[in-house]
Amino acid sequence: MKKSILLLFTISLLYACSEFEFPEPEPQLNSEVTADFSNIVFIGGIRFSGVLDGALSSQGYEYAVPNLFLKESGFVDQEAVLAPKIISENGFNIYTNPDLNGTDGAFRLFYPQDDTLFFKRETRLGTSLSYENSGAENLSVFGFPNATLLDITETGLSINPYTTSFFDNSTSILQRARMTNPTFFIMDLGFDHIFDFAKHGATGNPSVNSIDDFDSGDLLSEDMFREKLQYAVDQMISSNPEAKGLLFNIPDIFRYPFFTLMPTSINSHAISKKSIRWDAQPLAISFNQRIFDYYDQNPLVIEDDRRPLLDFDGLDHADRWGLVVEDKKLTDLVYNATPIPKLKQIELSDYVFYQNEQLLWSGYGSLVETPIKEDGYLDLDEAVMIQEKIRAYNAIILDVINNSNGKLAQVNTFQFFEDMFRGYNRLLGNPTEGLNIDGVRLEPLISRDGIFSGDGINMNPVGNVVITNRIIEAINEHFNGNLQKLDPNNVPNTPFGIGN
Amino acid sequence: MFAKPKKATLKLLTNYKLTSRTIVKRLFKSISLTLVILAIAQSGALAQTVVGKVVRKDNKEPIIFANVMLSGPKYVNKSIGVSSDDKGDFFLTVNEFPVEIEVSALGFKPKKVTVTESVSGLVIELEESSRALEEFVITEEKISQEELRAPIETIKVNIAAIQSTPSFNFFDAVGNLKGVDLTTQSVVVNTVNTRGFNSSTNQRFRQFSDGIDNQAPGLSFSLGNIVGPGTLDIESYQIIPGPSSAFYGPSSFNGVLEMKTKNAFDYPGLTFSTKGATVSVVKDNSKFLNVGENFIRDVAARYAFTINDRIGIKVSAASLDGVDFRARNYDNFGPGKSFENVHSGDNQSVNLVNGYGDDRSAFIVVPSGFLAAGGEGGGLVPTQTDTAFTVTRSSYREEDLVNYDASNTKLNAEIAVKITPDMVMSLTSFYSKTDAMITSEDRIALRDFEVYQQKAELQGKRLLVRAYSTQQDAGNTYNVGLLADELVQRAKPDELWFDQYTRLYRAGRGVVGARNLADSQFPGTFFRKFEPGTDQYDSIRSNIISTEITQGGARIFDESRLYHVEGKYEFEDAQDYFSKLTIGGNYRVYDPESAGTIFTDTIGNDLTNFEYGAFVEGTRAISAKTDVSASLRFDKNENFDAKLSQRLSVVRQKSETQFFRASFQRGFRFANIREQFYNQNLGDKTIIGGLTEVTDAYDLQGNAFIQQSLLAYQDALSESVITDNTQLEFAKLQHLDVAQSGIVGQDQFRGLEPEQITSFEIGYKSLIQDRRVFEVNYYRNYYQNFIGNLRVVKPRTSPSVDLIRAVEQAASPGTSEVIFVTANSTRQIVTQGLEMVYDITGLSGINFAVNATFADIIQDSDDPLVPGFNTPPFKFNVKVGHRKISENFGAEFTWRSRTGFEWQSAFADGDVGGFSTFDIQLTFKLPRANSLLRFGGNNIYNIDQFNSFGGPEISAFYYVSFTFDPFQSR
Repeated sequence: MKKSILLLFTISLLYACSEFEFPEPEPQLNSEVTADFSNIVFIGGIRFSGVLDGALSSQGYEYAVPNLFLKESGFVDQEAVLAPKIISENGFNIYTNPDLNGTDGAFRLFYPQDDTLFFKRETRLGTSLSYENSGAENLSVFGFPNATLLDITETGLSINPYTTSFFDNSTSILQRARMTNPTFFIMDLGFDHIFDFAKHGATGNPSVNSIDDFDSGDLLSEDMFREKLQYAVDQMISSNPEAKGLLFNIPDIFRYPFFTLMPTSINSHAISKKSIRWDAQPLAISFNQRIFDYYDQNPLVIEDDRRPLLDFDGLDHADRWGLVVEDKKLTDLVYNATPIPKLKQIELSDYVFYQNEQLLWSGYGSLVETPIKEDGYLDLDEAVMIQEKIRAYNAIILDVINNSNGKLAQVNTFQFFEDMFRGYNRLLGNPTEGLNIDGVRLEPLISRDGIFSGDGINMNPVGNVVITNRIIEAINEHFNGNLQKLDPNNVPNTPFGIGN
Repeated sequence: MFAKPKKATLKLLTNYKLTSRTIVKRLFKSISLTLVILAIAQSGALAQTVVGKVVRKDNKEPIIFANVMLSGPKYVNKSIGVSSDDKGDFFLTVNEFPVEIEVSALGFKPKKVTVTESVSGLVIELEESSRALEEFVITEEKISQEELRAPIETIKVNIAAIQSTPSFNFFDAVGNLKGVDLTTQSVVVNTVNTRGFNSSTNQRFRQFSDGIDNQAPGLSFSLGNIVGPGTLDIESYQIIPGPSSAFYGPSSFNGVLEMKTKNAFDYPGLTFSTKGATVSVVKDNSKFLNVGENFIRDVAARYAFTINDRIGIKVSAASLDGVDFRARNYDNFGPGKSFENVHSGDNQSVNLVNGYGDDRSAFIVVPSGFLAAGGEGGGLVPTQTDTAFTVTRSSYREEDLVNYDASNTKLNAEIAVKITPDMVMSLTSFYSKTDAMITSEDRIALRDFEVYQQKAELQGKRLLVRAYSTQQDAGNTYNVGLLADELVQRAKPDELWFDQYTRLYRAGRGVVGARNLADSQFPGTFFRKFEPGTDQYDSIRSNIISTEITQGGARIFDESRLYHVEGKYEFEDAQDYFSKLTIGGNYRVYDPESAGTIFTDTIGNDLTNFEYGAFVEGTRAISAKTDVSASLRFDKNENFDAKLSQRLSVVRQKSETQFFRASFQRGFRFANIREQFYNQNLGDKTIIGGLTEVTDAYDLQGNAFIQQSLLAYQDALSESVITDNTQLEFAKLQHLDVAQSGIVGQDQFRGLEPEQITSFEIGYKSLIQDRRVFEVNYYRNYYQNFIGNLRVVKPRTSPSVDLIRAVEQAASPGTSEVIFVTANSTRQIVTQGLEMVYDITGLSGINFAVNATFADIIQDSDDPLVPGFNTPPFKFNVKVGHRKISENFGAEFTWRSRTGFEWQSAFADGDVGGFSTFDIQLTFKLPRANSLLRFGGNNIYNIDQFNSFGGPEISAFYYVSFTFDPFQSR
């Protein structure tokens, strides 16, 4: 009996004394990934360059799409410097510093002030352009502001000031990328062409067929775009036949706040600013009078061919208050040996670049003397033409992908922005559905919940994470990956200040 | 004969993967086999009798209703015996000779007689006396010398008191004792506590049945008495209020309840009882003497016998079924009036106490100018300041989520063998299966909830070795709050609903329009609220309650286990220096098995936790009138450093029956399994343990707000004048530092420290004229590292990344998560209390007793930790009773009064109103039928009574009980 009791006690004690540990969870690996991600290279323009709030900056570098993808997905160490890097908090503004000279930094946004309509934008004091790792050979990211397809593929083109300030022009960007022997490449070729053309007010050549004819603000013809895109892809694959890659297509840039944030009707502005109304109307009447006088002298000009008048009849109601813009396509009129300025009022379907908003309070765009310049807006025909070009370029991108025998897949940013804008109606003022991430609504706007940075064309960190997740989706879908998406809610958004 | 049970026990101890169902089947088989075998053997276990008469010494007149009780060391704190009848005659059955009999009656000196063989004409003469002999039990209601001299406060209740107390079962009557808080969760589940920090998940109070810790291992607290002894098997219980961790272990902070069952040697025979009670379930029916319309049945039987007085066998069973108390407080305890229980244009923030799915609100601020500019207010009239308001979703009422059937089946079997006359080896099993509603961190529907306990014990005169295990199976238990939340979320997730509501409201749709559209199927892929009573609702509800929490349902999986071994020895040869010296130790292992539904024990992360301890306790009489007791205890938990507990107490005798007592104690409490490993999603919140392994997974440092500061920020915003968006943004920035100050720091949630209590207590106890007990004591407890909940809100965006966005997200359930983190308070918490008892028994036998308790907490107002004191400042109990108004009739009345108090818990915070209730019981003996008939009622005036916020309403409860005891074993 006593032995049994002792045995019972001993067994209980032995069990109780056993050691227990927290086992470490084992990483889940997907052994069926169909691409080699050991050496990933990004090649592109502004969307890979780390521009944030209009500037190349430290934060822009940190939250650039390539940096987020490579580091947050664990492909490289957090400390690795793999892209052209600017060390400056406020950075170098690529839009306001003329000819790479100057020290304007990133834009800073404020909630509406007495002298602004929607929000106030000012420029911080930044630094001159200086890449910390200028000339570095061992990059994984070849992304520069406004780098068009030709800036990538051609040697010694010397159009893009950022590529030339980082590299000498002895070797093309493409060749430099190729020399790193990438096993996987991600290219964004085409967006910068489209945006550069659009932001110049569609004043460039819309269909360049020769490199010699190409200049800033021009667009490549479809044939040339196809040729250069295929060349770029072939170069990357020829260096490593096993290499695979992703190609970004081009979103409809008229979804971007750079073009859509400015409402065509600024009634509230006009109503609240009596002085502008009182100044604008007599000037418009005088301007119209000159046109009337011209046609009085030239009565044979039929009505349909006559220049439009400026209509500010809604003096107090201001319900037809259209901004005054230059339009070089208008007929030349000379009255009393003096050319009549080619001015018109924009229509609801036209696009005014949002950067002009800051000037409207001073009468810019309302007074005949200070019309919005040709490169400050796009009319409907120009917008339609650009949208057709986007579709053509995207078709070419898809073609190249389809002909790659599965080596390439698409990052469909076009569709992504279409989805983001579901429900949107610019004319009726309906907001977009945006994107709901864990209950947080992300808007395709410049706002606290928006994905755009202060320049209206480049994404803020949240937007860059969202774009990075499109890369991850494409890899998971097409190359059987199992990468975890990043959390766009845990990166900074576009900040807004109060007061000056 | 006993080899098989022992092997079975060994196997269970070593192979813990046996399911509880398998174990229960084995238990049934074991019990059945035992009954068959031993019914045959019963013929050899014939009873022996002592028949006699009690008379006055002076005139030989019979003394009626004298107590004739078995006496001696074996019967300390037991009450085995009979009463003399109206002729002074008695008939007593005994198991063995010699036996010592103690005879007492009011007004007479007690007398002890030793009987060596069966006798039929014994005459015992008692001498009249105005006072009793020393060191003698005066009456069974009063107090012994040992209790008067005890270094710690104890409240003992014996079987006679249990039987006469007006309550449906003995456990409910615990609430009548001094300083005891009883939290009624269900008809079958009451939670006991003393000395504050009461809760329905009372983790600082320990409860034992025959030495087995009653806690459900997966819950870390005792579910009332669902697995403990039944009324027929209870012999006595005692409560030790206040910290006693030096003796009982590190969790005994608030007190201990020890229950002892009747053993087969002293209480052989068959007993049977049946009880019935009516209870009202009609809501708000508070009419006077409400008989009720539902019925509760309780049937119990106990059978015990011995074989050759060496082997004792006992089997008892009890089964209760009926309806449960209902938690149907549908008052709004969110912003607005309490009667606003439906969302309207005036109140978008309805939060019903027992409605679930509406617990978290979104805070919305829209400039007042917004409405002036064309937005429709939908009834919300903008004030001069702004339109700050909160929004909740529509809830489900508890009664639509559960059925209120309640049941509790209990089985208990014991085989005991006397190895020597002073040493007993016993194997004991307890089993229970329960359906009931309880309140944990949420309302929980226990369904097929099983607990199985088995114990092996060797009990000698000085030696005690005990090993036991407790295994539970949650069965089909589900979380009612989570069920409601899942129903709400499956219609449309919060992430979308609150986003839609906010956008629609800001688009000028008004609060009503915004709610209607958000509640709709829009944008087409969602559902309107599932309405109770529809097939769709029933189908989805069934799916949710049958799906485990980790799979998106509300079902709780819990097969947690507890293994415990302990030993104790009293030294004989130390008595030259100590009057008493005891050493002991224990070792226990917790094995939480919740499949991730409660703890962090997800696949690949099997949890266990062990702890052990040892103690030495000695008492020395430093003078004839002064005793000093000291104890020292060492405890170590796997996840905490070793701690030493100490207790020093002095008892000073002022006069023969007056004693002063003073004690100092320092004790520690390790965080229990829940507080360490908790990881439960409750829908509106997540509760997590305090170990870094758990908190690190939530990455709170720098990424979450302390809820208190967030609410202060929202209050500040509400009071700001905001007419346009710019002012709104300005106000946000202006008050941002309030929220910023609440960002969880890098040094927070870096593990738990054991909770420490330092307690001082003084007391006075006296027995006056043998009939009056007066007792008063005062205590003051100082808690360091108090373990409680720190409530944090983690928004999708870290405040370290974007503070304003984080603050905005933290204001909405759709974009943030509320997490209750188990943490230590950084401030000292102090509690104090004063307790008083006055108990008098008149010469006629009538007993009047009153006890009063005052309790108080002192805590820094800015301490964000929520301690949950949950105790009425004043409690008052009055009892008037007479056990023998006539030979076969007794009656007792109790009146209980509680003042209102604030209730804080993870389930809900709110005020609990004070109440006073009246209980009564009439007891009739039926000697010819060997039976007892009791009529009684609790809360007989049917007063609205809640003893926890959000808990069930305890309605009037009238009962009849019939107990059949053919062998007079009680």
